[in-house]
Amino acid sequence: MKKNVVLGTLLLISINVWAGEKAHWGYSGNTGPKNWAQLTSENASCDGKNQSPINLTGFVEATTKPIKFNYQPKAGDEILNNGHTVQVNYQQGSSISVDGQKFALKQFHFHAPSENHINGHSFPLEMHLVHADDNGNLAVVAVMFEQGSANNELSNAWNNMPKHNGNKNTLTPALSVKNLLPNNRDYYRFNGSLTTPPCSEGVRWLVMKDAMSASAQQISAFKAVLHEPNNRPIQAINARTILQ
Amino acid sequence: MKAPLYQEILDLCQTMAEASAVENETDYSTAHQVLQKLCQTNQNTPKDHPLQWEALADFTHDGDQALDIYQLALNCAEKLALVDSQASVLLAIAQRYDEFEEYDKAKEFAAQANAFVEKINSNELKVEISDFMSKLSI
Repeated sequence: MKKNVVLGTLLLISINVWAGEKAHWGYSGNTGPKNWAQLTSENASCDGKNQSPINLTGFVEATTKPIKFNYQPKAGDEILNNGHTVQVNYQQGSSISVDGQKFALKQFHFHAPSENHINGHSFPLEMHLVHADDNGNLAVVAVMFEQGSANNELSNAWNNMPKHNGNKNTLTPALSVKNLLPNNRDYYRFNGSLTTPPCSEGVRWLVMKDAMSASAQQISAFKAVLHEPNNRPIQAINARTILQ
Repeated sequence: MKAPLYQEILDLCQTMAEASAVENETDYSTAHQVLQKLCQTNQNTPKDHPLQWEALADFTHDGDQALDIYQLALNCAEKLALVDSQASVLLAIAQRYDEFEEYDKAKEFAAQANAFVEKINSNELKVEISDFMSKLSI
């Protein structure tokens, strides 16, 4: 798909920009979500019709094939605070297979409160696992967290969480992202966008139906590092279908 | 398929086609959501019919998502043993792959559509598939 190659290239560039230190956008005030599309012409997609996040509701029954997860923990993962989120850049070698296509896991990061809602329900924390195939097409697996018991794998990440924008640490011991997935891998599926500028569209969203658990302290610790909620408001579904 | 449902689908398609022509996204989305709701309500009931899914997919801009919905149309057509619908949906899938410039897949699905259309008396669909296959061969 030539159009996807071009789009994918743009998206990969956007991820790098997104992970960078130069932040010209935010979640409030003049640089907040309402103005993202106007901040620069590169953000024009932020006013698009297939934007994320959304309230997942009105599902269509489909034969969604299971996602094959091949996540391998390796030493040396980097955890960074880019001012917009806390992100773990995962070592090469982990991937998912969906639609017979292989998508490599590039990074995962968090939003509090959740960006997507499920049947109108907002969650205190949401994790986005960002994957790309060889052509640069993106697939994001989203995992919701409800407040409850502490999550051991999250503790591992949070123990190394950089407190200040621009700082990064190496995760020790190695984090097994598989332990951040629910046992039940049923998922909702729709097409959307990056939830941060440049809001590029054409992203496959795979939202896990079951939520994981994180303690109140773990959720608070993440919020304290970011200083403000890092969730883009819900976007219109428009002419999109959500499959389950 | 009962006539009122057929007419309702046609009316929604007409609305979307007109909205698309004048780039009226609001009317387009509204009609799309009504069609989607219709599909959801009828799914797995005696009213379920591939035509509604095919219409929904035809008016879904996003190619990947359209393919997912065409698959629902195909499943429904198989379940109801509607050969003409199977041929029509397979042709639509082939045309989407052609838009994606994935010509091998376009040919594969066009060939499947052709195999189904051979089983029925639909000259119009036969010609359409034949024309499309000729274009792919160029």
